[in-house]
Amino acid sequence: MLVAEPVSGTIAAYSLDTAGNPIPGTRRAFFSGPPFRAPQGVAFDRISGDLLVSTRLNSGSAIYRISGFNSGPGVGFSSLSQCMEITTPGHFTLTVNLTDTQGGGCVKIHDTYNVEIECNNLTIFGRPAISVANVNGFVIRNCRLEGPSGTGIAVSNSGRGEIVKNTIGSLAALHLSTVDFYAVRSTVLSDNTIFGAFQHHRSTGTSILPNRFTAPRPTSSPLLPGLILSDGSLNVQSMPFTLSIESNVLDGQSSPTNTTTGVQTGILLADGKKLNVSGNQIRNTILAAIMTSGNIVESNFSGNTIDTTEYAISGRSSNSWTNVRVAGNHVSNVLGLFVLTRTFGLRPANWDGQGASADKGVYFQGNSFSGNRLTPGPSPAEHATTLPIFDLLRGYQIKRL
Amino acid sequence: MRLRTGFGLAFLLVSMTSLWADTFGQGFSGYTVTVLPQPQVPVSFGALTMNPGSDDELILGAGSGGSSATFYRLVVQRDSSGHIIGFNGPPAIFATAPKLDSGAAFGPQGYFAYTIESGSGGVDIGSMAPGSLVTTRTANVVAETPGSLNFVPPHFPGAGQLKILTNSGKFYSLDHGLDGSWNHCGKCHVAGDLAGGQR
Repeated sequence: MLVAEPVSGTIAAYSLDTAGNPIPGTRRAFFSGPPFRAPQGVAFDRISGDLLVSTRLNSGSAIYRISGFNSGPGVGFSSLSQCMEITTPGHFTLTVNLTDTQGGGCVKIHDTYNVEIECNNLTIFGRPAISVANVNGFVIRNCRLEGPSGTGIAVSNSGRGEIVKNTIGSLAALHLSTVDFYAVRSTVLSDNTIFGAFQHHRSTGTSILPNRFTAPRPTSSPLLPGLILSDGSLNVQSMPFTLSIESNVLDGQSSPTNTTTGVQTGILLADGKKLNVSGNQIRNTILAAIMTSGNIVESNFSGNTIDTTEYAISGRSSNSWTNVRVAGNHVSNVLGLFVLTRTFGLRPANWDGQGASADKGVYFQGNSFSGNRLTPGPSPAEHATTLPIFDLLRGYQIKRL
Repeated sequence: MRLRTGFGLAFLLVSMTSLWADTFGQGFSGYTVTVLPQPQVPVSFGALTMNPGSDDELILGAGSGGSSATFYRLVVQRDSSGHIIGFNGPPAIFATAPKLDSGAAFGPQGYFAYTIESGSGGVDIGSMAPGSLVTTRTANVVAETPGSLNFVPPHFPGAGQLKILTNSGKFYSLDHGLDGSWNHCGKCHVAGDLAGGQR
């Protein structure tokens, strides 16, 4: 544990006992001045691992950054030849195909930092094939990840990750959640081939670019709600939230007239701020290429190529849009270009059971639509645009029960 | 100005690996020091912590010890390796916190807690609910004047406990109060005495 000592101008290091308390006799001076004087607050930056220290002088308050904490010994290269837990930093290379025979997942990375998995295009079979929990810094590369059902990669409470050039899921098996993020920070999903859905819960700083998503075609198939599903409800209320989905190819393997297989939407976004959905090719979905629900704020849907669905961009359910830019989307073979409706009233506090704030209103303000192009398909479009925000409430008698 | 004796606490498994070789202690090498550009907030910096909701937001107490002391939200600027090199845009007020001292941390349920400088009406810890722009609760938690506090992060011994270090060097450990509802330290205990706290 590090302690800032203002009078001596020192950062001191202590060893901890088993209860997490400092052992007085273990004090050692870690860093001291001058010119460093009067240290006050100290905190670690999760991204870089650096220590930040504030100093308190009217004539010279400053913030110091001390780097080098993650440069110590312990990072090595290891072979990965069996399903196992990984709890230390290092580079692990898969040397054989792995199958989880015990259940509970095959490769379980947790409570560590800077772990790199190189699969050399070998296969890991498990449910999930790889899990990542409480890890700061991870790379999963060139893996083929499959399982009987469920998740190929499950990531939770982790950050600074890269999931690159993997094939996840298979065309013949249904994966409701092929890649699952929960409370994940600053992670990139790039150049992957994914058969199934990517679920993005309460995570931020995620970049998805460019990947190929394809709906699986199992013999008995319930519908998938979407290929990319994001829920950021807590974040949109009080915390910064960013999600960028760029230059991906999404194929839902269905159509508006085929309601038994494939996916209902390409990208389904529930409550989000600073969402960027641009340059994607989205085709063959049932209901919509891009569908939103809940509060969508300061977001950008532009330059997407959309083909064969009911509506290109649609807001449903508890839909509310503020400062959303929709520009330069090229759309063909759809019944409608934009359809934005609102079905439900204001959601009360904790509507999600996880502490979300109450809705303050239903908004459709500050939005811009420009340069979008609709090309008719074999069936004529019903309408280019419909914005009946409250239309579905028309004719209903609202009364208190 | 009188130098306060508050303490900052940070938990880490320190690796023994210097620039500024004369300022790092024996056994600590491989570290480098950078002074970041001055953020545009009042001087007399106090507590700081990273915002758990964003990897790019630093919460910094400024004007510490004063009646107008305030926590500011600073958006950090990073280099290609992820190191913080400065700040983007103007600071935004995170919350007002009169007499804030050198300790601040987010609790497991999102409550933000900070230490209050001595002689501030018998209270020593302030807290605010998630999203609040003002202090929502103050309490007298320990007998001495606390300098700093922190919550033990996951995967360390005592994970989740609130640790308080007083100006006299007493180190307190609390098993409760994670929701910001702590009372006077009837259930906590002195877990250590870092004698000579005013080093």
